[in-house]
Amino acid sequence: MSTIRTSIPSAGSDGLEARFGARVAARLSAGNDGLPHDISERLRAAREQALARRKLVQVQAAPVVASVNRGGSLTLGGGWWTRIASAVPLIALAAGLVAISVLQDDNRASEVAEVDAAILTGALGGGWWTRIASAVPLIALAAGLVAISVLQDDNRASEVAEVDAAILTGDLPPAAYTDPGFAQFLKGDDSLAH
Amino acid sequence: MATEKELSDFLKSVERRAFKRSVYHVRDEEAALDIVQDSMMKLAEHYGDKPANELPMLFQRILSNCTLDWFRRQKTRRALFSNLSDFETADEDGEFDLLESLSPIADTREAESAEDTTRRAQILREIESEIQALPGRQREAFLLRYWEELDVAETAAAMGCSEGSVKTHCSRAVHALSRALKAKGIQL
Repeated sequence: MSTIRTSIPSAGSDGLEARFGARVAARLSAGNDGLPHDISERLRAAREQALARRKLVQVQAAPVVASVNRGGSLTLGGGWWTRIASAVPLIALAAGLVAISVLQDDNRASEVAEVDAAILTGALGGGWWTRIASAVPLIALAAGLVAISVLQDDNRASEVAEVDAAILTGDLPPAAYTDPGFAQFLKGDDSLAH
Repeated sequence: MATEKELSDFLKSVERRAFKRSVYHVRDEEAALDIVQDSMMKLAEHYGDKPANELPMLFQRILSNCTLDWFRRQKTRRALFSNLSDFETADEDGEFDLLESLSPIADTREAESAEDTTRRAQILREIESEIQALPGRQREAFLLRYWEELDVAETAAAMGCSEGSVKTHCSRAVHALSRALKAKGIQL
């Protein structure tokens, strides 16, 4: 689109208009190269920012994203994905408990039936399916516990990150916390408050 | 889906024209830069996954919308009453020969001296000022049609109007520009 139109109709008022338009456009395009340096640089910066924004959208599926707002404050969080993900182990746990309850009821009923059958036929046997099915809720429970552990680790990391961000963006310099005099002052302040 | 390089190259190819177009519309370089930046961000953010051949039309539409948004914000800020009809002026399409404003094309191919360079810069300023003086819709149609080299249907889609309106706007813009430049003794 940056090239100048060359196929200009030569006859009729439409052709004349097109010729005139093309010549004006050629003048404008020629003047385009003479943009001041600061404008060109700002356009380049805007372009790079737009491309970076595109990348940000593409990686937005990551659970925890640290972003710097325009105001300069640091915020952490993965939005709805984190909330949904945090509910998954709870759902798994609840499903596991329900499954245990249902299976125990089933097992009790089948045990009674088996005992009845054994008494009637003179043989005893539970079958593999019952044993495998009884392991399912335990697996679900274990998976739920592992997921809870992983998410708690993530939450702890994000909490630590938030504390770090608060320390770094706060008015008080971080070095103040290592100053024994300041620690003493804080203790004194606490004792006064109590 | 356009690759990052394709998107980058596309933005690079249109950014200067987009900036100048915005300047012609809003007459403020800072605002024009903001508009172009907003348009680039919106294109990358919302349409970065579109095929490369769809980007030009999408960008023109976004740029037009961002420019309109800027005017709306200005209107609210200044609490002035204005509407689209303010951009339209009474047309004075009298008898006018477009041929008179077109000099032979061979003239533009001559070797250029310092004097020519100054003269060319002066002509460019005059053309830019006349383009800025055009009614908004005529300016938009003219620049999309002849500078961005969109065809009538594409221009109509970008402006959200009919093809007939585009032709009318373009024709009026060409005649108004031609008349104004001729009055200043400028031949293209």
